[in-house]
Amino acid sequence: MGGSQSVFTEEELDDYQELTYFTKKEILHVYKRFRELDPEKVSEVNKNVQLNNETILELSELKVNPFKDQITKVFSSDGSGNMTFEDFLDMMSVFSDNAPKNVKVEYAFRIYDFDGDDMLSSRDLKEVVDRLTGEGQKLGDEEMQQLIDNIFEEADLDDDESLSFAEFEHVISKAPDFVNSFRIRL
Amino acid sequence: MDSDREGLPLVQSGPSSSQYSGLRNRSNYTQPEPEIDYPDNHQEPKLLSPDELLYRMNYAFINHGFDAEQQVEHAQSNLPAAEQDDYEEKILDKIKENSLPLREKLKVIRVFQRGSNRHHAVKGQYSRQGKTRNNIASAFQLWDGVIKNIAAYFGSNVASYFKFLRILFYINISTAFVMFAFTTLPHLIDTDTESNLTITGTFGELSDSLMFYGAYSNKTIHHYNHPLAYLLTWLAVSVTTLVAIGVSMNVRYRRSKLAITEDNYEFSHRTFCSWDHGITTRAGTRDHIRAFTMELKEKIREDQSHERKAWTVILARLLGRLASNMFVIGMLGGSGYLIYYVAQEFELPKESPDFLQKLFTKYQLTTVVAALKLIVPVIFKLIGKLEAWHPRIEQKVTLTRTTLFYFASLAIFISSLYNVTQECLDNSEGRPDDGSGNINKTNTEFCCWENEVGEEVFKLILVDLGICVAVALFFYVLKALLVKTGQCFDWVKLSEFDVSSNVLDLVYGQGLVWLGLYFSPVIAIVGAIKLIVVFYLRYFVARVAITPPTRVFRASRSGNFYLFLLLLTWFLCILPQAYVIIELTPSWDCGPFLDKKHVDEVITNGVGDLPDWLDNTLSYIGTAAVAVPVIVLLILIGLYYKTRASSYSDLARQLRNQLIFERKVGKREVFAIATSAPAGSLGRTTGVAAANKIDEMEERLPHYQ
Repeated sequence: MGGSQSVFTEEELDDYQELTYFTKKEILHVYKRFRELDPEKVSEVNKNVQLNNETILELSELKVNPFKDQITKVFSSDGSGNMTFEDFLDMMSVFSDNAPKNVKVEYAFRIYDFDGDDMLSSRDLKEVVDRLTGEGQKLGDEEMQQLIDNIFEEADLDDDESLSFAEFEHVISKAPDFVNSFRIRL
Repeated sequence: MDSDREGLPLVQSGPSSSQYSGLRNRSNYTQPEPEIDYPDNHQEPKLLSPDELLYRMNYAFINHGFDAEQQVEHAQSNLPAAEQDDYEEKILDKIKENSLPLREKLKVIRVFQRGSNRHHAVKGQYSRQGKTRNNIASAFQLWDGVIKNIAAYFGSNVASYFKFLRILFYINISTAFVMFAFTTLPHLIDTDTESNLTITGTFGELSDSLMFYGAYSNKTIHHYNHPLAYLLTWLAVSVTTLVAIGVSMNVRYRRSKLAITEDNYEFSHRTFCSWDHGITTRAGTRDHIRAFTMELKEKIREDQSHERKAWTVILARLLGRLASNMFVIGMLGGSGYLIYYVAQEFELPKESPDFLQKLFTKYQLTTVVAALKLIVPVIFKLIGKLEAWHPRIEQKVTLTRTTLFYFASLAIFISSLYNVTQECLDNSEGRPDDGSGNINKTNTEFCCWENEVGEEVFKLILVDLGICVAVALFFYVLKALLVKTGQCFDWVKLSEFDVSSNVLDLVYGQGLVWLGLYFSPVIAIVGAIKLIVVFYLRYFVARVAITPPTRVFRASRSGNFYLFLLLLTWFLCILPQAYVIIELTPSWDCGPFLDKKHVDEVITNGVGDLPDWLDNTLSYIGTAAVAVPVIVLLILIGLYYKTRASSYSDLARQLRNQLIFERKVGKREVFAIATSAPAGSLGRTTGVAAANKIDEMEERLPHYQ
């Protein structure tokens, strides 16, 4: 860790510390993990290089996550999944313990929004549930429809068959477990 | 992404540019919709206040045309210099909690930094609190890596058990440290305290040592009043623990944001919040997915089946549950009586071998308590399964019963210890002459009842630990070996990690430590060591022999419930000692209080006599004339707060219904008007004129459903 201290200037570290939910030590740790993904490409000179989506997905914490592709897509600057170190830091910061609930809720919404239209339609919900149930045990059509109907009944306040961000936030803020489960530790 | 914008209905976010401002003003439905800056809107961005800017940054992800950097630059260039600093400070203060992506935030910061080349360092303006909060939180946390490992396989529910264990460990270590520093250490330093008493007890040399109450001196050496220190340290530690638990319960409760406890969001919460991102192993993910799917399907099926069950079935169930509840109460009573009987009167028949006799008399009480603790919860669990409750209710019911049992067994244990003390005092040889002249001095023995009590508690802790280790090794590991080598095929499955019963175990163990603290200051260290052993044992067993729990979704706020149990245990275990201090006579042969009639005399002697008026007041306060009204008053206050709370939740429900209504009705109106009004036809009309215009148009609308 002593070696990578020279990678960032004091000012940069200060900025990062003030804008993310990490301390300087943790930021350097995140950088270390980032560099381990592709040590050749990421060097002291070139620290903000963009790594391929495939490379990022090799991270052990993301590898088995059913939503991994959405996660990288949401946090990358161009929506393609290729991330620079700042994007990566942002991602780990939002998933860290200290991130406030409203930030997590917003990113959860973006992750679940598969088609990117800022609303969670029934197609989005179907995709979420499919990912959660895994390959072998998908829900039958009838069951899926019933589940989606129930979700809309609970959360969709204006009857437009899709959840806007305000409705999503309204529901999720009541969940006691959300902050605990929306967490990745490096 | 930008091309999608045009096709979307206006209803997604309120109309923004000045043409539609009339409509916006008319709308008295306050919706949290940000104004849209359309990319082709060539007007100069309006000058936004800091709060407005922060608000928009929060919703930037929906508002695709919004450019924070541009807004800030514009603001900075248009504000007078004096206000610029203020603006900057306000933004920087709140920017951390904002959900803008990091790269955008960096751009905003750079704008400020460029601007503030004029004077003071930007660093000084960063919010101070964030810095200190971060640094403290990332201070060294014991066992972090291990817990992360567990979370990777088992999820955060199981990890919370280990975190609870860690909290208890911290409590024990700090207690041990304080007790050691103020009572044991002075003893070790001062050689004058060597007493020439030899105390015999079950542990031989250990009984004589500073481990137990008996060896502590009752003198004041070098101005250090040992007995007073003993008492005060114990008191201070107990009260601090109480305060710490109370405060952390309060903090947690506030954080969990007194949400409406109606369970209306079951499906939404299951879908959106149950994936645990902390699970990072393939095996863990697979298990979690399987458990989740099962639970989800079950929930859906349950929702579907609305058949009424035949009344015979209902009746049978009711009777069955009644019977099992009576059985449970019977068991509780029976085990209480058993403990009491063994403590008092039980003796092995004379023919049994000597060593068994010796062993048994030493350990009889402990064995019975520990054995019951092993057997009864298992029986309760079985009963719970047989009763055919809904699974979540079953868990709560079993939890309640087991808790009751633990408390009952602790209470009976304490009262049987009381009998020990009475016996001992009666036979004590150091008993002072009480003036009647007919003390029978022939049958006396050396009596140090505090030591005996301390030893009993210590024995119980050790036996508890022993059983825990034995069960873990012989039951779980053997079972796992059998399952893995395929010996028993399908009958035997790996057990699940039962978080609630393990947590209850921990709470029980902690209760024992608190119980023994007065009688044996070193017991907190023993407690801490026990926790270390239990931690690694459970970790080992979990990795090797146990599957993650199949109930993935826990709807209850169990974290606070366990703290509450801890609090109750504190009361159950510390209050008897308060009674001891006030009512019972300390033994005359040993310990720091051997020459006092009541332990609290130490304080009164130490502090000096209270002035008369204070003395009278205090004794008056203790009487019933004051106590009863105070209790009634407290009950009334409690009821008042409860009524207030329920009226607030009623209010919240009403507001929610109103919100639903307005969203539904309001949105339809806006949508209908927006789709039917030709662009710009509403113009700059505001207020009544606009309202009239809209009413006109509404009448012409087709019915929108």
